[in-house]
Amino acid sequence: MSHTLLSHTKVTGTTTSFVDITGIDQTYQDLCYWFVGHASDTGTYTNPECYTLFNNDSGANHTAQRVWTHGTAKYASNTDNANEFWFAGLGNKQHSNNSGGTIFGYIPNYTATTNYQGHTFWAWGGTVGDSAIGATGSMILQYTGQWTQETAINQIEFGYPAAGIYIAQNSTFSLYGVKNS
Amino acid sequence: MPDLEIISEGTLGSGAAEWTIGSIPQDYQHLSLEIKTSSTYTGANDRQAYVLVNGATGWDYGYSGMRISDNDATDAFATYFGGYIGAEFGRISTSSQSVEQRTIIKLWFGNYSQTDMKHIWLCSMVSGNYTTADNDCWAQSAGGIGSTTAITSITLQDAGGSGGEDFDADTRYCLYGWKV
Repeated sequence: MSHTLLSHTKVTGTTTSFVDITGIDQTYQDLCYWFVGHASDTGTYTNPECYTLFNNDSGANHTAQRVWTHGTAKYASNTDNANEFWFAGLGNKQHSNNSGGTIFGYIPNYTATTNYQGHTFWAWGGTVGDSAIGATGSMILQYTGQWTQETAINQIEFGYPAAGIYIAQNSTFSLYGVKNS
Repeated sequence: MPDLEIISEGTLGSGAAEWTIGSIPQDYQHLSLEIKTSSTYTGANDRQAYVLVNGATGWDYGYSGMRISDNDATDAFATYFGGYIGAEFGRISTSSQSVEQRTIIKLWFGNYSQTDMKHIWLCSMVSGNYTTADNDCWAQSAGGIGSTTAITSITLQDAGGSGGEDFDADTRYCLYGWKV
């Protein structure tokens, strides 16, 4: 099994809402990705939520189960037919104080067009808050998403949808192709 | 040329309350670390374990996680940067009920060689006991250090590194580097 880097983005601007990886090579078996960073805002959101889309599809085709924490509070939810995959907050400039919050995602068999009810993927995420606000800027996430389209995945978008919230400078997104070679 | 490479792998060979992978090369973007281990401790069914980086032993760390252990309901645990000496990532199985039980652990260290953000790492771990059911554990967690210094060493510590609570001698690990 080998991994090949397909794309790496380091955010340099201050108004980048999302990264958009297009034209994904279709010759691999699976995909995996790393997002390392946080949101830019310093406002009232303890943890503004980040999202992912495949193939720029914002239709009601996104089903997910997730468990997550904020500080020592636990949550779980199920979502059917949403317009995107909502992960959970990964910290912001104020409450996670420039932490490299991380999401690692894995998308098996991304080129298949005969999947059962589409593509299922999973992701783990987490971050740690700063001492100024206690543990509420901390979170951990386990996530399973299902894109209910039987279409090969050739595009991945990751970002923050809320107005005025951007991906912080120096955040990175790395995409790898996985195959048996 | 593959972009995921093994940096180092090995077996401890003798029990140790803490052990370190040092001199980590800085020419990768991310690291992942896989471990198969248990604790020699016999006083409880599982035991907290910690990650420290760069030899820092001060109150520099924070963590956030959720776990199931000893048949308990899911528990959440967290503290902020500066809240503890080491980042707890979960509970590893002990020799209390079976010396053969093992915990498998995977850690992800994103952007470990960058120096512009405080470092966070993820952990997923699980263990099961085939002789009794109440010595199982599962955890997802994030740890971090309030420092932007690039990570050059990773230390694993069993219950704070106190005596008699060692990672077992057959502890095995493999450290991977992810290129960009």
